[in-house]
Amino acid sequence: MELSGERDGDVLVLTPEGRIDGSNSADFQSAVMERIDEGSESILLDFAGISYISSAGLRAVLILAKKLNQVSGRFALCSMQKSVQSVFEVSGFVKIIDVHPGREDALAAMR
Amino acid sequence: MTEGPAEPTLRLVLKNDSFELGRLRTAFDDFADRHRIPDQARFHLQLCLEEMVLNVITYGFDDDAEHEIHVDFEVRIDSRTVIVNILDDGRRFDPLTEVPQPELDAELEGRPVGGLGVHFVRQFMDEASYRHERGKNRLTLTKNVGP
Repeated sequence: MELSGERDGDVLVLTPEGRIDGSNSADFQSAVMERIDEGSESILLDFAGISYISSAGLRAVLILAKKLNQVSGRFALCSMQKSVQSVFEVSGFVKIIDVHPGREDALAAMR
Repeated sequence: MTEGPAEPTLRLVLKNDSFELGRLRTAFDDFADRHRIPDQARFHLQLCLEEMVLNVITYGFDDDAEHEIHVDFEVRIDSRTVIVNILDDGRRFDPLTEVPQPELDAELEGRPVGGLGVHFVRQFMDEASYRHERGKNRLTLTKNVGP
């Protein structure tokens, strides 16, 4: 899957594109995990380009959040499209993962 | 020759292989385009449909044989309702009563990851029902799609 990234201070901002579902959630998870293993402990996923996420995608996000929690890192999501946001809301994920409306809000909270 | 109104029904036969989800997605997209199903309803229908079909493919069959999963779509034009029936000849299983509610309040570390697909159905569909008939599981999802 497309996963470009850029640094903003200590935060690595990753911008996945398209869908995260059963067909590519493992790829998505390992692509982000690689960045964590390389030493990135503050990761912001900018979901502006994500148009669809299934339970498999949520599972990957949860595993990443747990991983960063274990290494005392920081993890947040931002800029979700309305439908994607609705999936995070009904799953209760917005209560356990930091979700911000826009990238600037997220970066301000993570600094 | 002029084009008639969009066919209100679509029948799809899938094999019990997760690669078939691509075909399901394409067929549903095309159906949703033709019936101008609004974005949010379309997203939720697609999500619930994929979750339920993937569950059948992954857990529904006790053998390694090829099986058919029938997915029937219907739009009731007057009421702007989409009805989807998913039929399979796998193990008798009612996801609506046999899948426990996910623990939505668990903290991050203790948070389990299963059971969300059925939870999405409960949250995003207007109705869902299950029947076992003539040896088949039949799951019916109903979604109102607006004006």
